[in-house]
Amino acid sequence: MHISEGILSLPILAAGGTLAIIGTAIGLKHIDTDHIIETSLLSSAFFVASLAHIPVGPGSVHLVLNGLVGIILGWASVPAIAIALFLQALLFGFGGLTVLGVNTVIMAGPAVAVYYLFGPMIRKGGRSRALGAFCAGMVAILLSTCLLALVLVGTDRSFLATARLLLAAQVPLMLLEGVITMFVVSFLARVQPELLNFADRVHP
Amino acid sequence: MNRCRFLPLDKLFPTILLLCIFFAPAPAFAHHLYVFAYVSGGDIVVQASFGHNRPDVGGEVSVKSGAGKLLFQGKTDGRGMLRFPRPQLPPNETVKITVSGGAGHQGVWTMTPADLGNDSAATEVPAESKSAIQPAHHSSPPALSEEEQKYLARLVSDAVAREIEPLKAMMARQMDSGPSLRNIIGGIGWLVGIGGLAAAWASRKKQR
Repeated sequence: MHISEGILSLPILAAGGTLAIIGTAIGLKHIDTDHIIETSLLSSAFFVASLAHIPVGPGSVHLVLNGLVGIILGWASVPAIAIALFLQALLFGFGGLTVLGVNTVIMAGPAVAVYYLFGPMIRKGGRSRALGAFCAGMVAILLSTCLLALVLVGTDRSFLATARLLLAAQVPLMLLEGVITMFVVSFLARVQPELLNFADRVHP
Repeated sequence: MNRCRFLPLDKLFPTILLLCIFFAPAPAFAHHLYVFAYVSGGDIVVQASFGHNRPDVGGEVSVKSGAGKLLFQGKTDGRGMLRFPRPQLPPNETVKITVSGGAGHQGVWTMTPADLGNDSAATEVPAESKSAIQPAHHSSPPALSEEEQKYLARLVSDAVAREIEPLKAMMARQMDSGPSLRNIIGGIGWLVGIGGLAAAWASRKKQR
């Protein structure tokens, strides 16, 4: 899911960087000062999730967990994901510093999208909560993969074949992330239902 | 402003910690494409992997000279390796090997003239080192013709290349060891630390 340095064209890098800066600024405004530590802990979870590798066919995919981060943090997931990606680039060499903006948009954009798309379902509780959580995990990966494919094809049309393969390869990951997100949300709801009381979240 | 109701810290922290413990000690697989190349005999061997012996199968390899001239193109085999004849290059020319792993993954390895055995400083062997290389030249009885000497030199060079190839392959494997536990723990520390600093700053601002 991390695009490496030296692949994308300059306009795409610049557009990604600009969008990421705007998203981060909005996200920082949405972080309640009392919950900064929780945001950084979820950022840590995203940071280590990329190290969990799942073999798919001849290649492999890794967990992203942007759906889970998105439904808990909302807009705050943009700075949380951006800083985790920055450290992944610095410490692991995943992605890179010039592609940080594009990678942030690819992973944090869908996180914010699923917060709005499936947040109301999760707030309802019961079966719709489990279904909403599953969809949030799955759709976040689907949207990220579409964005990734779009960015690659936007740079070079020859990436079209790669983009198609990519979509197919990510299907198992979509299902897995859906299940993990559903499991985590259902677990938290059962153990301490008020933890997932999203009712008093005020939409910006 | 969006006042998110977050998970209380006492419940969230153990959950995150468990997640970290679950993932961190597992072989740190991830999608960074590691590329390593070395000279073996008359060939250049390229090795590409995603870390921890996960070869990049069918990775597109493009070999360019320092000036940007395309020298060779090919694909890696089932072991993530590609062997191709060493191109004829002017002295002091570097070779840039780019491997594309698809889905936006790319790794680059640059071979210096010294790596290629194409260093002008190395090719122009100084007189004193020539005698050091061939100490037996004056004293040893075999009166070899120039052709025989060249043949012998090639045999020795091939034998040495064969012997040291496993060592180079071992180095290539070490190159793809992936993120270390130290880096993983360090990264988590940074994230929590930054959060702590921000929280402390915010609370000081609130107090004022």
